[in-house]
Amino acid sequence: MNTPPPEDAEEKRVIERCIEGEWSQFRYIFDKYLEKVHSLALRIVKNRESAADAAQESFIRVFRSLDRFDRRSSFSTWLYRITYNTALDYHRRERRKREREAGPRERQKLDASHFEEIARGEARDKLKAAVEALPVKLRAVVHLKYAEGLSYSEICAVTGCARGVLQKRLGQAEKKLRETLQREIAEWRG
Amino acid sequence: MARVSRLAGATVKRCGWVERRIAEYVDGELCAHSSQLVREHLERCPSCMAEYRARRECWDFLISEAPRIVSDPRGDLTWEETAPLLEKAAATRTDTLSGIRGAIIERCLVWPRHLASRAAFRTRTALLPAAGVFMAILVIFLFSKAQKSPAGARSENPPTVIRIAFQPAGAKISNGYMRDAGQKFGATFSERGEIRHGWH
Repeated sequence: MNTPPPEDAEEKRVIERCIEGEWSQFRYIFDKYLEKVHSLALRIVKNRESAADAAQESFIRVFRSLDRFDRRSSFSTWLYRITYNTALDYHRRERRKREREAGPRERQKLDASHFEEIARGEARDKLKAAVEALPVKLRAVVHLKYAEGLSYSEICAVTGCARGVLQKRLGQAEKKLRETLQREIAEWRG
Repeated sequence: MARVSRLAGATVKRCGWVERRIAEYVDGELCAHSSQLVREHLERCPSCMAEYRARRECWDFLISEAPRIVSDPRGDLTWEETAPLLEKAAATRTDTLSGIRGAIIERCLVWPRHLASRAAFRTRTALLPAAGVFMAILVIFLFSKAQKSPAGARSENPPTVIRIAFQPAGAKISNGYMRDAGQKFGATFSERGEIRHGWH
């Protein structure tokens, strides 16, 4: 059975104080998790401005719901879940806006140029471009798995998907990345 | 491509079984027993070992490089621009708490903190429909009982003053009034004019 990791005592105290209304105590959580929250949001929305907005909204949502945090999972997993959902909302909003403005044909052109960019770049750039070319849900699980190092059960808790679905998404993502980055992986291995 | 379908040894698994678990094996998500079975298979099956090596290389590459591909991890977001929003959220939450829970729950002073947890809320929410159904059944039962009871009938229809001795054979009185005894009564009569069943 997967048990949540022991909670940081300071974090626990801060959460209690925030629930009591001392909002300034939330700075501890903000500073501790800003990079993780922003990275996940950036991986999902692919836009710096929207990622900052999504991260900020995630923190506000977390603060508002602190009294409903039931401690069944670790605080970071719960925070990731809220960030994941908020960033997905932003992503959908942006996609609709893009489609309204550019239309589906323009979108296809953008995707094609994206792959050209992959072919031109260096290994890390290529990986970045290849990950960004993945569909949003595959991108998110790749980030949570490889960048954040979460376990399967933690990723399931964040994304709300079943273990089988997660395995399928990871398998699809890995297959696409392997196909795109075959040469880079071989070179990296030396 | 021809694959090894059955290898020597009773516990060695087939290639298909291993293929389904190889990603979990690489990710370290398999239990110790299954990991052992996969390891044993890989030692004997070159094609599965090649697949494992390819996946492992990709995994190592991603684990090493993926954390570095996030450029500008903190972004432009600062505490200074988030703090006013948090202050506003805190004020809204305090208002809501004092307005709703403060008025209903906190004035009662019998609301333990742990009951406000999400799990307790779920339990209460799950019990509410059951309690509602139970109350509805109880009300229907009591109402139908009140409708069927003689007391209800007597209150709706004023009793009729009759003389039992002159009732015809086979008659049925549901709401009579016994003048001599001063009581209400009901009765059914036999073919011979005798009371077969009566109440008062």
